[in-house]
Amino acid sequence: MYSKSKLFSLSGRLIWSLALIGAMALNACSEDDNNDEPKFNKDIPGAYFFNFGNYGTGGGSVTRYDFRKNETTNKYFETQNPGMTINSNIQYGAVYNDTIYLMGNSADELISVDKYFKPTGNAVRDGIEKPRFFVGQGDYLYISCLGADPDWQEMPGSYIAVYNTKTREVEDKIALPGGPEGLALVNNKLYAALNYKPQAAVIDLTTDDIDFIDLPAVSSYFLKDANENLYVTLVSTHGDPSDKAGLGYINTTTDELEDNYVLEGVSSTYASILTANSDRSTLYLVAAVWGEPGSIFAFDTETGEFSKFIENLSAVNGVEINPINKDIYVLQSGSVSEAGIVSIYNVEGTHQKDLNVGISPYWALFLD
Amino acid sequence: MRLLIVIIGLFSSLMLRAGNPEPLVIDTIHLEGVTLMSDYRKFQPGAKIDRLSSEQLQLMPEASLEQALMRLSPIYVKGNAGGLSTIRFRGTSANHTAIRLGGLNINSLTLGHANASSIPTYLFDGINLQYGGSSAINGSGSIGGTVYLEQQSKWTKGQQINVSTTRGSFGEQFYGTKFYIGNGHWESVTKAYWFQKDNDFYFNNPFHENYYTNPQPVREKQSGAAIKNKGVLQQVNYRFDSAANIQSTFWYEDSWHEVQPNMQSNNQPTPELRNKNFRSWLAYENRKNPVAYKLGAGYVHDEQLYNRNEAQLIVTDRLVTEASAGYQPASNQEIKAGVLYKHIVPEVYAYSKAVIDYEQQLDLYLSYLFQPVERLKATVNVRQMLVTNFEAPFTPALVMEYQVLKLSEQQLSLTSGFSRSFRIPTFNDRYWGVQGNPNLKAEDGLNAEGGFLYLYQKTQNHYKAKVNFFYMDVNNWIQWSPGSIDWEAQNIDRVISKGIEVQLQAYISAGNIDTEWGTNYSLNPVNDKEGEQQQLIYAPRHTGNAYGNLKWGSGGLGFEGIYTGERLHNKVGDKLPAHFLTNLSAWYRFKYGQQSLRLTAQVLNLLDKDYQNEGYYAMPGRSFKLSISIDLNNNH
Repeated sequence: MYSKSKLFSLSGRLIWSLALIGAMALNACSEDDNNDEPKFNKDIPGAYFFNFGNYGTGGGSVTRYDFRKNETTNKYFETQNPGMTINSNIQYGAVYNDTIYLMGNSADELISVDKYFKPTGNAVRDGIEKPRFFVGQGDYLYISCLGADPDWQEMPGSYIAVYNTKTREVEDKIALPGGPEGLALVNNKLYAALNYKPQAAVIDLTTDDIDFIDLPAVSSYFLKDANENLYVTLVSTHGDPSDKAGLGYINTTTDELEDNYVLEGVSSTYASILTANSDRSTLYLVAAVWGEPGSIFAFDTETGEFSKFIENLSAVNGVEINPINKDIYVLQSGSVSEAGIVSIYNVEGTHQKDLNVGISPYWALFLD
Repeated sequence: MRLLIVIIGLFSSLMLRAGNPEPLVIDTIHLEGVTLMSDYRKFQPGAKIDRLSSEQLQLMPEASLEQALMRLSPIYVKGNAGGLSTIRFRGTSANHTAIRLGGLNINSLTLGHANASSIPTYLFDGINLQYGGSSAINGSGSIGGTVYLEQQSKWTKGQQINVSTTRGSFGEQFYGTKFYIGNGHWESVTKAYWFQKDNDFYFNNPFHENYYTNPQPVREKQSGAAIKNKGVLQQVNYRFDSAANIQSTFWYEDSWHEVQPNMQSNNQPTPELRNKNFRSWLAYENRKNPVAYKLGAGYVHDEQLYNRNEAQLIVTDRLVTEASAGYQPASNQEIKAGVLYKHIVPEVYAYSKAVIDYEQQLDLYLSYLFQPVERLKATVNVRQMLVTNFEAPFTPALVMEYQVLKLSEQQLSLTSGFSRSFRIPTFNDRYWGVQGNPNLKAEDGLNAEGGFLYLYQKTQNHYKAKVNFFYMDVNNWIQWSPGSIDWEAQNIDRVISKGIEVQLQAYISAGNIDTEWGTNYSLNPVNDKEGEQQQLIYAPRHTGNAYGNLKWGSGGLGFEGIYTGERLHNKVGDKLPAHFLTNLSAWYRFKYGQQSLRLTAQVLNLLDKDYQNEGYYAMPGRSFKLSISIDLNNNH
């Protein structure tokens, strides 16, 4: 009996020792903290990427890329505002009258910052429910909103919020069922791409009258050409499938769809899926066919033909063109929780480099 | 429902009073002589299976599975303040935990997991928690761990009833009743409950509306997080003799909650989610002959409605049948073989009928328990699942337990196990809209573990130390990621989870004071094998808990301390800080003859800590609960 107990005592010690060593070994590979203090940046010029994050669980951020110095700063808002973070998921952002406006989702709010990304006041929540996109005219922003309680089918509660940039209040709501997404302003008319109804809305801002243009598919974003006519992305979605997806061309004088350039697999992502070169002769559009890698298609506005410009892409959110150096930026996501990538190509479509950015980069803003 | 529960309780009490003028035998509901060793324990000697006993659960009748795990185990539960939560064993994700009731895995076939917040512990006689992969025993989904919802057939003679109610902070109300009636051969067990919580707790909100001009936290009341759950579970059992019985379970659950907004969106409108689940299982067991056999059949209906939008109803129906037979060729050997068949019909608005109308699944399994040498128990378990238009891997497992030392006062056992585990993709993974990916492969895990168990007993005191090492390699980890067009399910990662788990327990009596002390600690590095050596999100590297219970006469005190280490909540470095929560409870049982009434008071989050289990979702601060539980017994 005694000898067995002694044996056990030794084996017990040995086992406990092994357990301790195992624990130490497992715990040995912890990461070092980066204690670099962020510094306030006084330079404005650069490309700013708006990273959506993960809906409802934060992660929204801004990445600044100084393309002249080849320097990338992730969490740029946090760098410029130590101790603070962006509360919402950034659905869209752009500059208007020297103020950068960010469409925050969850929380639903309109965030405004200056060009140094310092907040210019509290975020505005009253009257802003699931904001998507905005355009500005005079003292007003017109903000597409899906409403507080969307059904994701007919979107009966969606509207355009009319926001006064001076008073910082939503002055009016223009009811617009159908889920307005992208907006454009031409000749005091507000065009709204409806994402749950195969129509585009045309709101006369003088009279508030609303007309509709029938489209062969639901739509997402506009792009003005040199004549102030509009290209519109037509997408096939699960709720509204269509074999006429591609680009539509709307004559803003007649408010009619003049052309429908069909391209299978136009991206239904709510990001910068459509952009153009400086003279608007070539448009760039994100598309892919299921089961195949994604591509950036070039659309020749003269011939009305699509051609693959950049191929074999995965997880593409959007495409942007740097107006200063003409480089093409392809915005790509990893997952809802991991860093995204911006791949930079030159005008010939040759890959230059990749940038690690925040989670789900959706849009870019170029300041000079 | 609440009224129904009260009426059932009162009616049952009257029956007891009317039928029995003699002193009633009242205690907590009897558990003796009712449990045969479950097959999953018998055929997995040495597997790490912890039990949350009915005695522990009695002190918190209102607790959901989420609450019970958070308080009584070191398992990480990701979730918000009671609306939605998922269980994560050993760094794995929500879909890697099977939750079993009888022959059913009650996880949603569309989502791949069950909401642990809407599983009431009151309806069950205990909860068993198996750590690590066990697909060879439990089939698809048992990669990280398995939760067994335990039901015991007590073969009641007479009647027993329990009526419980809890009132707590933030509008918490719980009413429950259990009614047992039987004659030793047949018995009926009816359990019902009704739970409501306004969840309007105060918290420090760092992300409030005026954040951009005042980035200091402000005190806010949580909005849009109310919960209403109710359910009824009926068992009808018949025992032909000690070796043959038929048992049935019918469980209807109706759970509703507002989808709690994140802290940024507090006070903004929130949608609601309603789930209705019907789960049933009927089993016949016969051990009269050398070949013992079991036959089982069940039907499950799962229904989920988002924000009252009937057009987006999600429904699945499944019919399950199982047959198994066991034989003991020698006293130290047992072999068991079985077949499990499931016919599943999904009715989901986002699935195309042309792609998925129904699915059939067939599992063939075999277990062999043997003792190759004295003191060594081993089992070999194998399983092959066959699925319509899908290929599942062959799943073997070898589990062993060797008793190194067996003395009158001490025991030492070494345990080890090697197993393969798997999970076939959910219906959503494969068939949701155009994003579902029918070409997904099954997740494929390898699990190795070893450890030891040491027991020491002297007089009435006994001590237990258990240490487990584990290593898990899961390939083809499924993740929804941006694809070429839209989000789609993809086999992306290969994940390695490894670690050590330490459990210490002591039962010490001094005079008429009985005490129980214990602690658990888990160190669990888990990361993508191909990626950076960064811990996976929502997988704390360190977790632990400590508890103490003191019983003196008819009263008792309890203490729980729960530590949850820092967790990443995304892969760009954003973290939830570690937190330590403390809970206190005190109870006293009044006896009248053999009836009893137990009063329990609980203080949760005693130190009023701000913490999160899911990034940006507030959790309640200090809260109070008072429970009354009445046990009546009229045994013949």
